[in-house]
Amino acid sequence: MDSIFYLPLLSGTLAALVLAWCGLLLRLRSESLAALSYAQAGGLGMVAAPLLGWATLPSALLGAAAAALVKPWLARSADGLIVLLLATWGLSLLLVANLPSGEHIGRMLIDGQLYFTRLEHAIGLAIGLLVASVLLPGLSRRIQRELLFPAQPMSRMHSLLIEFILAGCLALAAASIGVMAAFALAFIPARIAFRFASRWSHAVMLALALGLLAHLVAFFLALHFDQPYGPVLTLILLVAALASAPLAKNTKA
Amino acid sequence: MPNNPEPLLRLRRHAQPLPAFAFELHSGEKLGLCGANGSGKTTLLEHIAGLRRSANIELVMRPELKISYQSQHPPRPLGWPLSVRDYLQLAGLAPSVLPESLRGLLDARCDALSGGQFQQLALSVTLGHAAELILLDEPGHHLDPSAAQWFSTALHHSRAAILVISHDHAWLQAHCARVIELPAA
Repeated sequence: MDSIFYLPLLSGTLAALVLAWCGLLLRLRSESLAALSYAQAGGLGMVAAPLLGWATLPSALLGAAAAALVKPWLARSADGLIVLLLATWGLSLLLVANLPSGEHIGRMLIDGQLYFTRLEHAIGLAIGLLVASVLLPGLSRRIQRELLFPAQPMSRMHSLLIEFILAGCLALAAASIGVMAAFALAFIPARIAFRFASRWSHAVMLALALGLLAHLVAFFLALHFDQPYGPVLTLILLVAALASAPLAKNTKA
Repeated sequence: MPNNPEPLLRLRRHAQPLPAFAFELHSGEKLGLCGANGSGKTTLLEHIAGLRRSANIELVMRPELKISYQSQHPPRPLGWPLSVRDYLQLAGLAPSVLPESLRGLLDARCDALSGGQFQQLALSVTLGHAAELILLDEPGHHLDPSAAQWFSTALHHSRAAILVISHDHAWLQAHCARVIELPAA
């Protein structure tokens, strides 16, 4: 493999690990759709970067932070996450159509061309993975306690911290591998892990392993056949989800 | 009846929309609440647990009172990879709080337990906390005779004050020092 592919391989690896973690938390809260909303909000931030005069990555994080702030308010209604998703999607495509650099950025977000990733993406994702690895185990326990024991609700600060971490990681990943690939990496490994793992720690390991494996397979297949990475990854994950469905156990103790 | 004359809590429900009533609960006392559907039993327990505020309920509790509460339908982690061991860890309890019948299921997923087994697990956690006041909302759901026997014994040995709701008047009479019937609208 040519050395120019080392950085994309690293960025994708970091994205796969961080997204698997995020997906577990979102699934725990029955908010998997928020993964797509946050990825799309990050995409909106990237597309809006020329308007702000910012670089694309900080602008993506700004878009995600704005979504993280409004999401708890929107999620009070059953369709709130869909409102967020449609709003970010619509605004993104309008900017893509009307800004000179919009088409190039929009194409990156749709295709998920990991091969154009830059060092700042890898650094951002490495920071995201570090934050997720340190904070998400404890925060996931808080979420589980709140869900199981309603007399132990989570503080607003912890709740908001979770939103910012999830939104930030999804936006960083979407900037590297595209919106739909980021959503698929958050959604499918967590979905499979929830069905097959016998305990929480096993679900974490299984989701991380599945995300990493899917990324590596997609990376080398896309490279070999000269295809865009995002759609290849998304289809591989979809096949994994469909293939694993009949294997799910449903036995009583 | 308790030695400490100062009650753990005093509660008064003012009239409107439901009829007024009041009671006190002392340390270590077991008090049963029954009443028709809609008489406000669950609302009352949720108010004491701090999960709901009702304007017509006046509550005075001993400061820093440690409360353990189990709702009528304890949240169950369905479709979620959580083992019985995980559940206990999240509750901050050791497997020793479990009845013998559940100790062999520590590594089973909670959503693989039967309704009765999960109810027993939830009750083990609620009773296992070192609380001064335990609030139980219809805890006898789904329990088979042996689980019901285990629950009766656990309730009998508990030193906490217990406020328990049930529609089974005979069961309340057998397990509680006092039973109060909430007046319906």
